[in-house]
Amino acid sequence: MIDDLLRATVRDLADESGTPHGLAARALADGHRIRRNRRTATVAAALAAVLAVTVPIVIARTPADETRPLPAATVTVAPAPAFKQTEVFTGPGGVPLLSIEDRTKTFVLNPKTGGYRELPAGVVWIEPSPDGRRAVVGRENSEKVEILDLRTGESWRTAVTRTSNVSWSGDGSRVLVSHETGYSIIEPARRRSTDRTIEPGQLACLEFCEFTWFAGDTRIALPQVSKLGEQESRVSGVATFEANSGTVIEQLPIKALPIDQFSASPDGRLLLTRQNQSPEQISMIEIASQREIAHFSVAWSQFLADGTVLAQNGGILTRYAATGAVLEKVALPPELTGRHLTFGL
Amino acid sequence: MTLSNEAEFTAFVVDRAPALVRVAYALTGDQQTAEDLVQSALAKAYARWSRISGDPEPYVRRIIYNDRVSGWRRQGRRPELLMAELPEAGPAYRHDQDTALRLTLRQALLSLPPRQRAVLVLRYLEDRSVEQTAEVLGCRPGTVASQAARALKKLRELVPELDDATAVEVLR
Repeated sequence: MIDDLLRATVRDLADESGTPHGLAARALADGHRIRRNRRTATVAAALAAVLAVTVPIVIARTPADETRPLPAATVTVAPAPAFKQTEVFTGPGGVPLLSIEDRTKTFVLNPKTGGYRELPAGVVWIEPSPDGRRAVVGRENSEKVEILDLRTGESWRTAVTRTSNVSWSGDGSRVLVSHETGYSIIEPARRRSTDRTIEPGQLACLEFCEFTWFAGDTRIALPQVSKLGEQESRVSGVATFEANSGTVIEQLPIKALPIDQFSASPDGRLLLTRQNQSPEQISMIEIASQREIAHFSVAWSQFLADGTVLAQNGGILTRYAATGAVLEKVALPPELTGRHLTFGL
Repeated sequence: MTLSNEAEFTAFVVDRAPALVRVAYALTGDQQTAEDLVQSALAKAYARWSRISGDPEPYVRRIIYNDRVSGWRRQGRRPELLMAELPEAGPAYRHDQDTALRLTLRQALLSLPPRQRAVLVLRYLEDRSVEQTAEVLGCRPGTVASQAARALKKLRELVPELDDATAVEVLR
């Protein structure tokens, strides 16, 4: 009797639950923050140990590089510049800090005032355009890609469903969103989006096709995968497509995944790649020769407009030359340490 | 974390979120709190998605139960709803002679401590054995049995209409 009553009561109670909306997007945002914070903490500890013995973190990998001298002197870490919420914070290379995220709050650079303003609590993630004019924002209960004009505050909810990371073109004019059968390109200024379906034969992807912008903002790249068995696969190359038409341009013999954003040098000569299982291990590859120029262990990295690479490793921002040599290191101010930061180009 | 993992995770959430929220609702009695609980568990699962082998659902469910039992809270969210009055009957309620008793029992269930309620949800909603319940909650079977016995004792105090059956049934 009591068993039956309890079972019926517990099930009645459970049946009262409603259908959740937007849970995937919210959980993804929180999950990303957990990973970022965990990674930042881990990398910070590792970096502290490395700095203690002043060992450069750039490692030449290929036999051809063994004779290449590393930078003559270890670059010392410059003290952290002051951070004021009312002023633009610039990182190495003079690039502006566009957004600051922590577990509960998101701040974004206001291009009109030059200060950082907090976004409403409903915004669970943000991806600012590299020019700082707009941002893709994710809100609770919405899985559509939404564009926020950071100057006017106007937002535009597109018809494009976010099923993967979004990435801005280098000039900040377009957003790339991958789908199972192709990709969408959103043009915020024209409030227009275009869907492209790729021939199935060109979609030898990992479990999901992950398009990224390539150099020059007219091309996109897609890693090509070979199956090694039921559970295992490897990247066998990177296909590039003409972004507007979806036409294949060429197959690059790169056997690693381009990083999510700004992976290619502006001249298209170099590519920042990662391994599927070790996203913190970044290799700078010379595309023509497939030679690994340098290897970084960093939380994130990106090419800047001048062809140098900006990376964060714990509480240190480092700028690398296209040779992998360290150009400068700057400590982050306490207000920015442990946060997820997005810089412009 | 790769985009493929992200797509796989999203597909998992779309498919399994209603079932997970259903369990969380039975644990919390409140939709928002239930969704927050599931969201937190999913986020933790996502952070180590590539290391979860096999079906991720048992892993996520385990986090849900343990977060709830360990006093999980999220700042800025509404506290658990403690009802002073019986809720309005929803469509799921059957209008039979047990309805009033079950509504009273429902309120009593929601007043139980989290660990006791988790034991009853695992036993009666998920039909887990004592041993399986102990495994999910990370405790000994004896602890499950004692928590179940305390829960039944408390329910009998709160709902005198319940029969005088002993707690033996729930301890089987």
